[in-house]
Amino acid sequence: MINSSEEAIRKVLAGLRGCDVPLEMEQRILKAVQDQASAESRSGWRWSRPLWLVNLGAPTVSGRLFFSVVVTGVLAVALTIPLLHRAHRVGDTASQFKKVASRQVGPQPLATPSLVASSATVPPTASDFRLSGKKRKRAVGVARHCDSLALRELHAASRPAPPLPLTREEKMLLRLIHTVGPQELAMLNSEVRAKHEAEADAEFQQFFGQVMAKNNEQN
Amino acid sequence: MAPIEGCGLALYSVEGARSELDLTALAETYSGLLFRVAYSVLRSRAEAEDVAQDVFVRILKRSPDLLTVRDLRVWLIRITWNLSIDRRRRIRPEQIDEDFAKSLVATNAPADEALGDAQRMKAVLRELEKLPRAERQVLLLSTVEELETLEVAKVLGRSESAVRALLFRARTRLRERLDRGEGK
Repeated sequence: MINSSEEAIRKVLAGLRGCDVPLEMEQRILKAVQDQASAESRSGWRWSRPLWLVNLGAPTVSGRLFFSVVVTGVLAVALTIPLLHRAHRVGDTASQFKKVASRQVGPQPLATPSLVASSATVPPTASDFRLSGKKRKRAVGVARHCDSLALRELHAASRPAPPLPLTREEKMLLRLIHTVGPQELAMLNSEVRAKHEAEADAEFQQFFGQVMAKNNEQN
Repeated sequence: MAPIEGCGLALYSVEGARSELDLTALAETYSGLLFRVAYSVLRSRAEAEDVAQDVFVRILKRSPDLLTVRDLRVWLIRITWNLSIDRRRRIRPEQIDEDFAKSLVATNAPADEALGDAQRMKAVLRELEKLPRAERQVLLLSTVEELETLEVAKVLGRSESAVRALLFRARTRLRERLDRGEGK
């Protein structure tokens, strides 16, 4: 019976340490490895090659040389053809782009009716006719797209102009309205102001006129 | 077991495959060691054998890399260790640990004693898994007889003194935790 934890630990570690290797494990491992190797070689590229290609790659010096020459030639041809094709296509695209650009001089969005009319009626040039059918269709498509854009802008609803900024006087008036009272504001009207001044004068005369008349009488 | 350099390694190809190493010699030299390393983690003979097999299949697949490996023995142990840990995550370790604990109990002991011992063993294994990773690794690798402290240090990428300290701490911590568990 195990009495202490130390003894239990020792026993567990001894159990881990004392494990025997299973019988014929090595043979089983080697068999598994060989199975794996043969499975890989079966499923590899070697078995999917045609027979003549396998013979070409045979491990003789002349066979290898011939094989490498053939592979290099095929690779060179395979790489050159797309490059040539692409270079030819780039040249065509550049000339087409130049043509379209020469027709659209200046900023495009400001399309006036006259411009629209002129762009819509640009006759196809001789070089356009020289283009092959597919390319010509593409160029015509580009021109049609530009025309439709200009026409759409021409027929678009006009928008009202944005409000102008306030003048100096208007700004002063606004400040007055917000700072002074209604009486001062009424004074801005010249008729009202004249009437008010006349009333004040009359009042003044009335008061001081009586006082001055009394003084004269006393003297 | 002697390292690979000591066994007169003959270079030939296996079944016409691209392997340049003598896998037979490799298997003879290392299969036992790798099995025990795997067993220390998995505690199941079948699983440990599977891992050892898996390691050799990987060697076959990565045979070109082997030429650049400086210490083949350490490299193989590391692969085995990692594969074992991966496999332990996939299997049900509780059941395996229970079987292992039962296998450690004396067969001629009375039933109640055997049951108590098996419970203690299971507790040890449970606490072992709860140890900090470095301590657990050192403790488990130290159970592999063929591995010296220097090699354990190389496998874990630590110094020899660090390995000794970790081993001491692991045993102390394990004992303390078990005593505490029994006290409760």
